[in-house]
Amino acid sequence: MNFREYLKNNIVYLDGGMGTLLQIKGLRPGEHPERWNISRPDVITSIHKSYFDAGSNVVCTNTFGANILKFSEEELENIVMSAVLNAKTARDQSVSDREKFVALDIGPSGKLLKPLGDLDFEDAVNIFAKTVKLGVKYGVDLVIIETMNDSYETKAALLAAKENCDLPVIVSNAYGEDGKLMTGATPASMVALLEGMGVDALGANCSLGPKQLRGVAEELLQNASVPVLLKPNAGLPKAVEGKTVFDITADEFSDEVAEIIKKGVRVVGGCCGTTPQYIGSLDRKSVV
Amino acid sequence: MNSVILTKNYTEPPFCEKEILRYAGCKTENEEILALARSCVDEIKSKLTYKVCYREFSVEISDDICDFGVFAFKSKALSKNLSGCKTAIFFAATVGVEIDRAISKYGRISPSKALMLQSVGAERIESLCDAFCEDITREYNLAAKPRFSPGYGDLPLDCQKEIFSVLSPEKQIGLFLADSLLMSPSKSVTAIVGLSEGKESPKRNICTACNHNDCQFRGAL
Repeated sequence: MNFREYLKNNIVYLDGGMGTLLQIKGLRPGEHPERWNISRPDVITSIHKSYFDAGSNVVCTNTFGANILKFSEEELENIVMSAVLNAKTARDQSVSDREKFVALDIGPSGKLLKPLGDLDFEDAVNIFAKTVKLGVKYGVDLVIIETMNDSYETKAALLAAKENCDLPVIVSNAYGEDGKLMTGATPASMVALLEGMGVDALGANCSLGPKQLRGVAEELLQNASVPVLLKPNAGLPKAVEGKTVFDITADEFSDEVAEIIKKGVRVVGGCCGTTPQYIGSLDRKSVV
Repeated sequence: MNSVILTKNYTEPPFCEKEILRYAGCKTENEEILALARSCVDEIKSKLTYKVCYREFSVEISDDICDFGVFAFKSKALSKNLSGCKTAIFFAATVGVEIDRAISKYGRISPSKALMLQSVGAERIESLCDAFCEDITREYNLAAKPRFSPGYGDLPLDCQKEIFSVLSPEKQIGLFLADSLLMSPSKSVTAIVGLSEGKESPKRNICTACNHNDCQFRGAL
């Protein structure tokens, strides 16, 4: 079954956080996690497999920051190739009998677009296009553009995806406590922008826990005619004896998100601080 | 130590009109300039956001090299600033994009208002940094050295790249670094704050950490 068909009739479970899990395994401050696709493929594959086994339908490749601004052309291709292979290997190894898909994960470029920043729109499109083309070349099932806190950069990434593949594209933005993107766009305006460009699903991820994102989810649901996604953090991080601890447990997380699914959100997962345990808990509590 | 990136949102720190006028280069006050400053504050205050992300590192200093574990900076001035410290807090702070939009708009229609908004922005970001540094001394129960930013003394501006690489301010607080090493939004600061057991922390940053004696903004209250 292809992803668009699955999305039509099912709640789709995405995966959870990757960064926190890599830090536990030794990722150092300032180190690019994408390089672990090549240097520690066993770790990456194991994390992907844990999410598939916990009930995820979709795992996102470890390519959040993989773009031509951070890596050379050669290294970028190796990273995307390895990332997709790691995810596919995890899919093959998983004990789950659910439909399982591999998504090319695209995060922000790290630059702010003009006129507020120094990155030209067309250059941003070209930067994202390089990564999209590689994902298509190595056989991903869909593209997920996530954690975008600027509407203009979101547009650039989505345009790059639409111009370079026919795959399903999901877009998720990072909203602040004020319910807007960093550069001011509201959920309603993002629905207009994204549906106008033909996304398959849209939503919100990161920054906040499920309770704080509830208002954003409701505004998205009021305005969207495509499936809505929610991928919150496990609350806020704290330092406890030198370790990162997030303040919402798997149970609290899944209780909150299950309530939001009842309101109509159909694509769910977790972001920073969430683990396979959070996804498993969510899966058990969701009502189809 | 693999420390955590933490984020704090602050409510509006109290405004200091004297500081706003100092940043505007006003040596004397008059009613007209004060009225302009106050109208700019009234216009922009509700659109500002006060966000800080920060991370703790250990520091060892030897031969003018400050080693934070993940990288080291060679700087006589920073070494002197951090002398006696075992812990350093790296932080990034911003008051958001809306003031940049307002400055850009008034740059086309009212240069005096644009200048005053620049000054309000400078006062705001420094007030935010002061609030954060006071918070940190309470959180760690240690004294804070005067904050030290890339570009101060002999610490090159290039160090911004390392600071950005360990704080992820783009994701945490919506702060970006251009190729020119300027930050967007522009009313933003990155800095290192040394923590030590010692005498009481200074209440305000008084430029003592920097030896650019020709800076027009040098000196404080």
